[in-house]
Amino acid sequence: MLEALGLGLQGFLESMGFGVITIGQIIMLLVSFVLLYLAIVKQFEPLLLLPIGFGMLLANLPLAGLMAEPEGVFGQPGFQAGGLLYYLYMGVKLGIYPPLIFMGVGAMTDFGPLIANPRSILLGAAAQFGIFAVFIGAILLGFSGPEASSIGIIGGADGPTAIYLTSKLAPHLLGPIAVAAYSYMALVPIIQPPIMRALTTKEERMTVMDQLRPVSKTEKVIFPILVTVLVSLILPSAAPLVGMLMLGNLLKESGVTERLAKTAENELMNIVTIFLGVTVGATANAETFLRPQTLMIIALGLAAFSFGTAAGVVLGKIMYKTSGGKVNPLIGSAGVSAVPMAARVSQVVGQKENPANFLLMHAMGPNVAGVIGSAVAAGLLLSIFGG
Amino acid sequence: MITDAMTLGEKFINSIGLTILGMAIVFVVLIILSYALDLLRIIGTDKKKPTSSEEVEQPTNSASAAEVPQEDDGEIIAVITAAIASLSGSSIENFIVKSIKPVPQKNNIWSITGRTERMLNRL
Repeated sequence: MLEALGLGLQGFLESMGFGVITIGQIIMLLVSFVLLYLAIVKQFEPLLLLPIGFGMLLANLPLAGLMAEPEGVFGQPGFQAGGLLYYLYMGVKLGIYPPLIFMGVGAMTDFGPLIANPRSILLGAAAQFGIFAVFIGAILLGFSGPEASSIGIIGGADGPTAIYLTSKLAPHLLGPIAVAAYSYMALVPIIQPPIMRALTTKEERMTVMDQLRPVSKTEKVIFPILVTVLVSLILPSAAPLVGMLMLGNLLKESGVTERLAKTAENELMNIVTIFLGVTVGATANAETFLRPQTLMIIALGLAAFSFGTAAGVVLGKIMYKTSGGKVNPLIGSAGVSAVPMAARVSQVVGQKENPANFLLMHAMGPNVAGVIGSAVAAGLLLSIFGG
Repeated sequence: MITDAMTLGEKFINSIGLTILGMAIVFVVLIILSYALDLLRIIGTDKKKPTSSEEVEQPTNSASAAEVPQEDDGEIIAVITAAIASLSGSSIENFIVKSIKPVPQKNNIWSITGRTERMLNRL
């Protein structure tokens, strides 16, 4: 009897994860705890970092097989279904989730400030310089073209775009890139202000801008249709992201599909965010994550953010000069997408110099232009390296 | 483009070329958009209705400042009225919005400080 008990206990002990967990998995679990800490205690983009951290936790539990691939052929004897997260991950792998999130973003975004001041869209283009500057850096560090593109896109400061491009070009880097992109987005208020102050004079920072003209409803309705047609014709590979972004926006602005707009920006987006976060986190396993490359990606991501911010501010300065001091260069930094965090940073830095200055709405123009700009940059990189 | 067979120098040159091309395309796309938006402004602006002399009919007992509708800005009037009601804690029946004028913001340092703090808190 005692023997049977012993054997049973032994069998149970062997089925436990403790016996087979590897050092790599233990470290990955610790990394996931750190992410969960950052999400819950520090509130760094908790809506994404929490699912990412937990996905990482789930995928690194030995024997649980949540990311296991299916074995055999469906319907045939011997078929073994894959893990839960393996199937949910298809939405990332096939590029389904990020455009759906973009639809929700579109339904939440007011492009009014951009329509009112069309030149501010250029600041959204300049801030994409970070993507390409870091692309060069990553190539020099020995990354391949597709990998370097995926790392550079962190500088677009746009999570869904980064995940979309990486899932197509370098899926093995998805974990580190997603973590870097979302962490830096949370750190925008810390990263940007020193760069903004270093590049501008006090006088420039105090510039008060003219109030934006009111934008008619007709313009707001035509805008998403116009952008979709133009951008998709010029750069078809950007169509999934830009098209869905503008669909969401049209749902909102048309005024006749309020129910759909609400679903796109709330329920649907929340559901997709959970799937996206958990499965992106689950791609991070010890073999791909615990490499010197991950540290390089994190360093390059920071550089991408900084270069993007600097380029935006520099173009802002040029516009300040050419407009005869009507444009505050601080709104340039908002050209890195990170809506609306980057615009708020412009507002706060500007207000420190001139408490009566309200730059928020002016900064929203480049800010939403940055979303379009990084989607265009992603489409471009995809058309070059995706072939 | 960029292949493993290249030397570091070749990769560097090519990636700079790609950067220039990339930034140029991003700029071109957004510049086209920017000018398309100018066009949009011409075709899309609503025809301004002549200034309506819509009298805001409201009961007596005035308390706060605010509004003569220069344009047909019913929405803005409603928002400002509601904001006054919410800030002063009184019902909208208790005051009349007579005129709304933009006040130079430098005057009220306290409200600016309050707003600044609120912005900072949100970051």
